[in-house]
Amino acid sequence: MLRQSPWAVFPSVIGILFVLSLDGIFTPEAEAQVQAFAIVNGVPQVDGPANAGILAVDEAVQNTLTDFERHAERNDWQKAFRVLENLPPEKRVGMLPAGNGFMVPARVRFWRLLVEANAEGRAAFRLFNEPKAKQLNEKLQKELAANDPQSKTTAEVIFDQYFITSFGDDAANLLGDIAFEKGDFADAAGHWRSIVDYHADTNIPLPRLMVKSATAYIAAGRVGEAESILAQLRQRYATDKVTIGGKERLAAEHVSELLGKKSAATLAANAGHGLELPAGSLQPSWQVPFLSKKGNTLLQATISSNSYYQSGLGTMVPNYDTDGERVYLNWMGIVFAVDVKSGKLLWRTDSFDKLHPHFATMQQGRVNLSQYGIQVIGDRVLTTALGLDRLNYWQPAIPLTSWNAKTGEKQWSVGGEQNGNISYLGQFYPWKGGLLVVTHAQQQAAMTLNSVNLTSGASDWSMPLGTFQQQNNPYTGGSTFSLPEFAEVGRQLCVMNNSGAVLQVSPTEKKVDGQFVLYETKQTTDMQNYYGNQSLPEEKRLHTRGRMLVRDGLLFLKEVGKSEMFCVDMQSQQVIWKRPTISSAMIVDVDDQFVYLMNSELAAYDRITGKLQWSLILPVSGGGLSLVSSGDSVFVATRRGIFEIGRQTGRVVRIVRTTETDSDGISMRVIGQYLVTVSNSAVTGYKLADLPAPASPPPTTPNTP
Amino acid sequence: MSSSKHLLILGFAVLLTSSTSFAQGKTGISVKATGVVKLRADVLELEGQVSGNAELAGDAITKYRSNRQRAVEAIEALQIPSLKVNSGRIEITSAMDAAAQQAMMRGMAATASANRPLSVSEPLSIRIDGIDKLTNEQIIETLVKILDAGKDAGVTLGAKAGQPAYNPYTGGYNTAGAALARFRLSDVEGSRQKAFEDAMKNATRQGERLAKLAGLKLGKVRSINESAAATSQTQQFNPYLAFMTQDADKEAELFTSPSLQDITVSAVIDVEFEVESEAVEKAPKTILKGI
Repeated sequence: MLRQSPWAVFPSVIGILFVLSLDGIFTPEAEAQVQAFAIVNGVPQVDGPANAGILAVDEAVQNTLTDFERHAERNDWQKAFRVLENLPPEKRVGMLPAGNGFMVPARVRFWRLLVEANAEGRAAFRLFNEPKAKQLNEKLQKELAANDPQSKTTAEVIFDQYFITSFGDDAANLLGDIAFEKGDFADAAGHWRSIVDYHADTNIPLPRLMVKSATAYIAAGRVGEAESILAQLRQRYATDKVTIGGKERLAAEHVSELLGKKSAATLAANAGHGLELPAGSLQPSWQVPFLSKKGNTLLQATISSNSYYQSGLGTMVPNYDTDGERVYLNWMGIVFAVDVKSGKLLWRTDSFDKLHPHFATMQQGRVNLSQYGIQVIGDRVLTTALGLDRLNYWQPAIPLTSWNAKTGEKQWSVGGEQNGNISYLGQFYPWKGGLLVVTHAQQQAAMTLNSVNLTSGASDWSMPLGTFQQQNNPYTGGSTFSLPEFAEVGRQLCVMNNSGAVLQVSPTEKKVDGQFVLYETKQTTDMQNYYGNQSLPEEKRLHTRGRMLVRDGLLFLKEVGKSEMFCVDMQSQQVIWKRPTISSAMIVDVDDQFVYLMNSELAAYDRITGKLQWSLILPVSGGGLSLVSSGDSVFVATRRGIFEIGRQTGRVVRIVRTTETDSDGISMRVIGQYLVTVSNSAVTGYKLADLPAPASPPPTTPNTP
Repeated sequence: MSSSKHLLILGFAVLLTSSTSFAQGKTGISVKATGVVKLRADVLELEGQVSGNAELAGDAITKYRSNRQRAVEAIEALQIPSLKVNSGRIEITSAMDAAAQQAMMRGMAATASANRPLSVSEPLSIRIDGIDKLTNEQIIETLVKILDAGKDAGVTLGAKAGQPAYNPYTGGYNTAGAALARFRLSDVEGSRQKAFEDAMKNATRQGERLAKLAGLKLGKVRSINESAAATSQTQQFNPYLAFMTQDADKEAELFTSPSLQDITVSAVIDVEFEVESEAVEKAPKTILKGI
């Protein structure tokens, strides 16, 4: 179809944009920035329902969709489009299931109906709608000529409602250009890709669109999609040329070069975070024990005499965080700070020994051990913890407390029994100068997302998140809640509720505007019954939890206690893959090749296909599951030493022995020049630059600051 | 004692019974004699198991291969002379999932589900020959090296599976504290031959002693039978194991020890000697009364 493109001026603009953006795109810094740019999926975002929580289907819209599909199946397109006409665009609101677990805005769902119509359906649609699209296009031309900002809205209407007319491709191209210019690379790629995939009779050269899409995907960090486009270019358009920055060159060659630069930038970024361990054994530079020998004896005796209860208390590694200079820990409510260089105990909120009399209460299941969260933001340490004098209460509300990071001075505390019985779940997410945290009223399952003001502790804004699934506490008869997970995909915030759903949250609009439901049927928890003669379940022993990590715009997630692992594209609402794994395993890392799962095994799954590449058994004895990645190796701390494992082969390259042979669970992190491990009993620092010192007992910091 | 063969041992006569008698209606002397030799174990054995468990069969195989390769490489990397890693049978089983287990514990019928995890497992047998040439210290050092390598490689090594200790108080089997290694003799037949030779010597000596007491002269062996040998309590003995294991291993299993000590091999025989006729005529009447 030949006609004059109204955007003839755009190629040169885009060429300039490409050239200008290259320097910035292919650096590690740019990669980090990319995370902050917006998303979208090549399909328009719509105003979702005002209410939030787990989204419900709008039945009226759903019925229209069902009617359309029924007529379309019979090729009765006249009736099908009449059904659509009866539901005008302004009423195409709410959410509809996409059939793969996603709930998508109704407008997106209807857009997909159109593009998936067969040739007869497309022809019928054009017959009825081409004049309307032409009208809108003329309006758009005038707005563009007048530089009217309304032009974007008009282009979106054409794209949303008339994409498969002869004007839809140009509207998509324009929206892609605008998104690219704003830095919304994934959005741009989605718009350009939609032309290639669904508008075969476009007069815009396909190699040009593919090059633009690939460039945007690379800029968004989604190398996999770019490589897929490169393969198509080599196969179908091997000799086609595009003009980039005034120079004509082969399309495939250009994309290949961009991918090469991206790989070099990634390699350079990885090289900058190398972890080199000395040969032989690793001697600690300092060590701060928080569980003394006396305490450990008492703990073991308590566990032994309360063996019916399966709390995992003996293998719990406290949560910790760092600001680069200090490491902060929340040991079951006792918060303390250790200087990373000197190993000096800087401050603590209570004597470590004061916990000893409460071991029995904790072992007997009265306390949810996962509730002790910690997060450092600026000069504040935020924690969730129950006071030692409240441990014996039934289902107590957990307060959120802010501490001065330098002095340990208490700044404020909100929630808890004395502040409205609001309970804070111990997982935080720093967000635009504040802190996102989920709360619930005591003994209630209805959850609220709060943005906490760091100065006062007050909630700047809040929005409901629906109901989280409760886990039965078999010992107390009460309920506990799994911690939510937060992740950002572009400008979208995703919250995994560990109750079977990932919610797409728009904090600026304070609403849930999309969701992905992991399981079609309600899952029953396998571990609701406990028997005294059962061994401690691995989930409890290793303190595994649900995790959701982002890599190249894709979410990798697995809930606690469930075996399925998912790779999903929240932008295009697609499940890339899902596969069964081990229910007690936890996602510990995702790199450019693999997703790493860990329980008593470390397993690497191909990030693109989800296939298991290698797996090896490790002497992991407790909580604190973690992994440090460096170069061609990954490192895991165990009681038998630090295992260096070849990333590609899964073979143990070497084992660097440490002195932490008595630990039941070790976590590891590189902080500056120190490798810091946190076990169930001590914090230990190993200076990486030093050669191994002769064997000698590590200096022990006294229990008083 | 022959130091060149590193055999400790003692041939000493143990007369289990003084069941010497004159055969009813015949002239002769019957004795039951035991021969015992204590030999230094020359084989060290450890058993381990490599496995791969996963819901997908492909994953289970990948894990099994990876775990097996790692275990074998880690042990062979120790470069211990005469160490052999023998693989056994491969078992592919489908374990019951947690929900089904819970149902069974509640006394409900366990519903088979499609996602039952699959397990591919294989017992590994580690054998070191010629440990009788090593000192105890060297043997312990070797054993520790193997166990450490096994732990690093994620394989739990121990004595042969299927030998849990029976707890008579609880009626259950307790694997805690089970022996990690087994020591055994490689040449069981040769060892037993030595025990029989010793038993025969003892029988002859016993017969001569009795004949002398009676004023008789010991003649030729009229008959000889093998009796069941008593087993030392310090030695591992599992009568059921012998039935469960392969034929070639049956007898070997009877001569193993969970501790580093000499292995006792015993043989018991019943021998009937003739009494020379001339001597019989000269024998006192009282003695000949029962003949």
